[in-house]
Amino acid sequence: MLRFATKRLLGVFITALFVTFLTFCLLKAAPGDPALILLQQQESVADEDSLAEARQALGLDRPFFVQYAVWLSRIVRGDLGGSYYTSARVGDEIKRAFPVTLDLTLRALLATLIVSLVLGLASAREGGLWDYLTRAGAVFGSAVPSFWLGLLLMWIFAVQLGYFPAVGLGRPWSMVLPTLTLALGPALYNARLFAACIQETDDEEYVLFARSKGLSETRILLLHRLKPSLIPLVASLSVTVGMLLAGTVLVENIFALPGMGVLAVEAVFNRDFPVVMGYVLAMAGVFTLVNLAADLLCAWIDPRVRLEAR
Amino acid sequence: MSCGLFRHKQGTVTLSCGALLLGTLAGLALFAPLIAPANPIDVNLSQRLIPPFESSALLGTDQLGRCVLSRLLHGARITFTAVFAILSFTVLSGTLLGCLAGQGPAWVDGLLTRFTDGVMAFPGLILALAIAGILGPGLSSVILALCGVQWVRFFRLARSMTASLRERAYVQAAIISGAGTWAIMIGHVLPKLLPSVAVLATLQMGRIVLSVSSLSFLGLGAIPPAPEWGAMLSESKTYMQSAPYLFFLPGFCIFLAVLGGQLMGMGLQKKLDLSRKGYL
Repeated sequence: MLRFATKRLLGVFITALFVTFLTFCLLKAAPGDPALILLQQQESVADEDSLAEARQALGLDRPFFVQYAVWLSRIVRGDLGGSYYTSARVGDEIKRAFPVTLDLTLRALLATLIVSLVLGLASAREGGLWDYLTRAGAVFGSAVPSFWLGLLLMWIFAVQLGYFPAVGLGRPWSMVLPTLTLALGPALYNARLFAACIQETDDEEYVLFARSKGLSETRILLLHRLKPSLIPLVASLSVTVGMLLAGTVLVENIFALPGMGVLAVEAVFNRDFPVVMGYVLAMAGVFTLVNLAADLLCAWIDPRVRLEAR
Repeated sequence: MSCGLFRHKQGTVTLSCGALLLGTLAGLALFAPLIAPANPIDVNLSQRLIPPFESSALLGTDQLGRCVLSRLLHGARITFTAVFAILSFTVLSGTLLGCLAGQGPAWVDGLLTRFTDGVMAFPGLILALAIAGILGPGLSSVILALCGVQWVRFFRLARSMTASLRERAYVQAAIISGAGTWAIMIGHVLPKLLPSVAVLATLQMGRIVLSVSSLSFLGLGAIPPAPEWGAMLSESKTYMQSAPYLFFLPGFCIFLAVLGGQLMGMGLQKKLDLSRKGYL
């Protein structure tokens, strides 16, 4: 286990290097001269001399890889630089918006897990009604655009029926529609995955043995077939979280939730690239950590994973 | 397995349904200028927000009095152009680089694999969002951004398959008899890759439609008068109460296009008997 964890951690480290390098290259490629923006924020005159001075102060005259190293060392210390637009620190902006996104993602993750467990157990019998429903649901869930679904739910439940608030935060039940919108696709996908795994256990010998003992199907399902089928669900956790994290951009923008997705899209339109890159980096960081956690969890539950990686 | 034949047949049905759906949409896109009853960007302020089936404009008019049906038809053109551009670039570059990494020198493989791992470390559309943002709003920047991100899927598929094909006897025999890297790649490896690449490409069609319209919905894609589906959906938000058909119709078109791609991919996968698990 320790060996697996070390290997995986090393992999994460290398990936993190590539991710930060990619982000740095994008930041360098982005339009806008940081030196000019700094001068404008200080409301000083931008002539040749002051520009050159500002460039030197910001370290823009140094070689590319030195700049990367300096930038990286700042990132590691949690300093994501200053915003071009508001002159606030990017780290503070992200800290303010992050809880909203985290809250939405966690709610949606919980909803996903509950729905996929219930639907998966219900469709344990291959060829049954629930099996067909889950199959159809998975196709529907993979094809429906979440922004359309969000607007549909908003129209039905907020505009027509008035059950939930349409946009914004803070009122009771205001997270119901965003959570539903975000979770539907991943939930239906995972339900089908889980159902397929349970169905595969149907001709296992331990199930045959349990049946020959005369145990009821419900008992067999819950006591014998459920546990081994959970492993693939844990393995797909990283995919699910990736879907959810990426989905928050759209959902936050539909329901006007002041999270990181709204922050990032606003920053794109303000050409405020330090904020955009801070967002991208934060998302990649969270996603990488979740991936690592899911892998370690998998290896811990299922020794075969550990052995395969050797 | 006893249900093998049935499964094959089921694959055919799914594949035909998807192909019919996508084919119809593609046909409508191709002949949009001929079928569309009006110019999609012609503003007519005296005819604003007319609901469907109430006037000569079959699916009603939008907030500027433009014919919704014509806009949807021309929107299909934009979507299919983008899908065609992105798919042809990503299939070609991803597959070729994947083959190269799978059988080329180790340092090429290591570098490319690490790079793609880096790209895959960003969840979903987020990296594409940043790239498109840097390039500035516009359909072409969305296409470029998605090209830059989506080739990774084909790369991973081609790399892992090439690496495992290398161990096969017939490829080993070709190596021993002195065939060059390119000859092996074109003569022995690529033909074996084609079915899987075809399945991934069809599955990708729907995903690309979804990505393009998502980025346009956020305002990064097609610039306003252009009738892109995602952009239409985003414009219609304000009129949700008075004209719900305005957001319903473009979203439904996106749904149909993605569904078509998804069904085709699933059907093809079953027909070619490729396992669902793995790199697709």
